[in-house]
Amino acid sequence: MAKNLRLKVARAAKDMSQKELAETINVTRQTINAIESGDYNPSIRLCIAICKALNKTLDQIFWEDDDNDDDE
Amino acid sequence: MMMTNKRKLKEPLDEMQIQTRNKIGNQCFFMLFFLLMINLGLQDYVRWAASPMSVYTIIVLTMGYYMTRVVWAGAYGSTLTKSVKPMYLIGLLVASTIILSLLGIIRNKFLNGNFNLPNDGALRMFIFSFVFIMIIFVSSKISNLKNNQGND
Repeated sequence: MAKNLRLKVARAAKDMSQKELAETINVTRQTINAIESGDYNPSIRLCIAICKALNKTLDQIFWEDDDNDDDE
Repeated sequence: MMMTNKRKLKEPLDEMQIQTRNKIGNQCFFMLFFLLMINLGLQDYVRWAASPMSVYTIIVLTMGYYMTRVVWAGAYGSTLTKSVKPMYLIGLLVASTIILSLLGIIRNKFLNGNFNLPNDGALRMFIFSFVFIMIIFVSSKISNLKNNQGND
């Protein structure tokens, strides 16, 4: 699975650490780390919680297409 | 919102931890099943331990394997950073252990008359429960440490 760099960028833009984001949405830091590194595919419920915490839409963080692809 | 809060209180593990724990649990269940079946099938050919002891050994080994993998995967500790629940649980376990031990001692001392502390079942149960609680405590700590690993 590809890395989710957009999540990392959005989190950095809000000046939040993985731990702070994890505490905001009530998950472990390990889970945020796994999502960012592409090791875990979150549920839609968790995606929405992340988007709300970062003031972003699902498209902006999780949608993958040719224009918006994080594959390296 | 109310429902979400109740869910959070009932499920201290997050979704990735639950998935990891379930996956490991399934693997360990099948491992336990096949080990017990192999033990049963080879009973007449390879006798490595007497019947109750072999089953006991397999169960303990599988449980140890499950515990180790769950703790290693960081799927044991809670997502709640300041939770009073584990301390409450440990307190409850300690209290129930002490009460049960006292009941056992009273039963042996006053009802049978042949009270022997070193070989007493209540004392053994107390030691076993204490070790069990310590394992839970240490496992929680290790799992929480594992949860905090990773770079920002």
